[in-house]
Amino acid sequence: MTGPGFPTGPDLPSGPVATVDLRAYRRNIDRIRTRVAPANLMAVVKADAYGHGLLPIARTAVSAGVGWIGALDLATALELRAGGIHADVAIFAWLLGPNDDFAPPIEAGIDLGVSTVEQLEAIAASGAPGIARVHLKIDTGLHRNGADAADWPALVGRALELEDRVDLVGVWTHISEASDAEDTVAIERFHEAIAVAQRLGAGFGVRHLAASAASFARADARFDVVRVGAFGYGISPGGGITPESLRLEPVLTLTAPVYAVRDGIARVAIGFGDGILGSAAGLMEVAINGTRHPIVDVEIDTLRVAIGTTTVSQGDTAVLFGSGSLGEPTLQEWGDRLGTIGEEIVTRLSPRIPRRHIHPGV
Amino acid sequence: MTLTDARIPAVPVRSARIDVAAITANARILVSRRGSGRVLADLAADGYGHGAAETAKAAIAGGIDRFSVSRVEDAMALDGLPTAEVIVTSGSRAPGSAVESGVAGPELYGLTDDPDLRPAMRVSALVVGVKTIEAGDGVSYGHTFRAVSRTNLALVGIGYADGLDRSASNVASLQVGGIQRRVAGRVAMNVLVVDLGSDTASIGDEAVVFGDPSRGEPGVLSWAASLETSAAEVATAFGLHLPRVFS
Repeated sequence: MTGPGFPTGPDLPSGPVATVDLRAYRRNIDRIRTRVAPANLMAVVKADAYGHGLLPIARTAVSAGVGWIGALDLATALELRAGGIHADVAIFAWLLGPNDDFAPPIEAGIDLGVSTVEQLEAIAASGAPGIARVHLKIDTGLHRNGADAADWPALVGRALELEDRVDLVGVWTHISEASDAEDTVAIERFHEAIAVAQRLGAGFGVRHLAASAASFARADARFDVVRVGAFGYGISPGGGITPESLRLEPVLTLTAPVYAVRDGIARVAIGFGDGILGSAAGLMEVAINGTRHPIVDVEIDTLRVAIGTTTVSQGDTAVLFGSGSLGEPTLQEWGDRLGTIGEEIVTRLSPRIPRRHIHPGV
Repeated sequence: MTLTDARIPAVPVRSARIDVAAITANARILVSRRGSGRVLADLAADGYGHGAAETAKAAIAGGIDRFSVSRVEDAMALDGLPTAEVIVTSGSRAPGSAVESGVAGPELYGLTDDPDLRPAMRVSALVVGVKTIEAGDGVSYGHTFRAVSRTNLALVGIGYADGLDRSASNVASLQVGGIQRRVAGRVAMNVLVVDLGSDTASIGDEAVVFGDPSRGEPGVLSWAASLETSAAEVATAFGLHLPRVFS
């Protein structure tokens, strides 16, 4: 038996379905906004909204009053604009490729996260009629991108020289969350970089540093905007921190039909070709009719599930993960048992799995 | 970049290149070994991530005319192609046909250790940032990598949302400048960092996850072995998520 809202009976599909509860996402967004106020929330929707479906998630965030959307790259940012996320919502893109054409995003009013003078030059030379909205990134210790402290004055200086092409909207960084002490150092470095920029004549209306975990844990990390992806989807960082302990709820339920039963094995129509990690064999379970059964093998299109003497029929629905209300494991359990994080489990799901969005417009 | 380059389509930051000629060549070898009409090409999961329609055309060019798909809706990839038989192997509306003999799955795509069969997928991404760090500096979330001495890093635009297993963190290597470079720190959702040591790279350089071993590139089998997973799962996960370029 499956609960209302999940595919079952005559509507049973031949493969997996990801059911995305937009009302649950909306409740998470509301809780996050309350928690981080007076800072503003940037809802991060990279990687097809962590596999939850880009446009329905972004539209739900905007309808909840969120004024910032984090897109990742220019293609995603432009897809959001084309999908109706209009210009009074800021869309932030920061993974800039060396061959990117900056004219379309500048014309679409996309906020650009910039780490190098070369990126500034490419933006200034784009030929777009408008002024580019730019957020300069300082590296405060994560050592991925962002300008080193030594290069920072030159980056700020060049942005100021290009003032007819570049609007200096924001300053930002990204922290490692290796320890509270190291994050404190990163926050201090962020303040120092802002002070350096101010002495050079730069003013930033928007300062942002924190992602999900720091946005909840540290008031001194929030600044003006926090960039929150995982928590919006009810994905917690693990290590004993569960969605419930943060008062967040899972948003996505993954189901697939049982298509054959024989010799104590149920064959479920989902496999590694749908994005299920092969390492789940022997470690994870699925719920069928409210009872958990172990996954014994992960094939390209099939899970083989040991059901013992339990009665399971062709056409029953197997629940892989969700809120737990149908007896199924949560995403947290998948991440913990497979030695990874919930984000990998959901972003790995195949784009070919249909996403059913329930409770829209609330 | 010169002016003439402007007409060349922008290089995607990350991509899976599919060599359809390799699939055709593999199909020919499998048909010659087993006999015409006795090879069933497995197109499960969009052709193991290679593109079911493109794979089917390439397999037909190599003499295969029988195909299997996992689910009824996947059979649409074969619409209009000259097939002798299409079998649906699973799905609740399918007859549940037991197809065992003659199935060509991973071998069709060159995902086995058979030396005669060529790998059809090549996965690579561009360097999108470079940086030098000092001894003691950590890299990426949780600082699970710390430099023992001054070293150069390249930020590569591919991550676990692209199908690159997060378990590659601090374990697997990508080829940059012809040399295998270890992943430094945790693989993130959309980027990872590799350690270049005293060597350097430039933004726009290519980092090869796996490609054609006959050209000196790391193979999908060694990538899969470094992660203790299968080449079939590796290729399928990448192919489903990355922009595919067919050649």
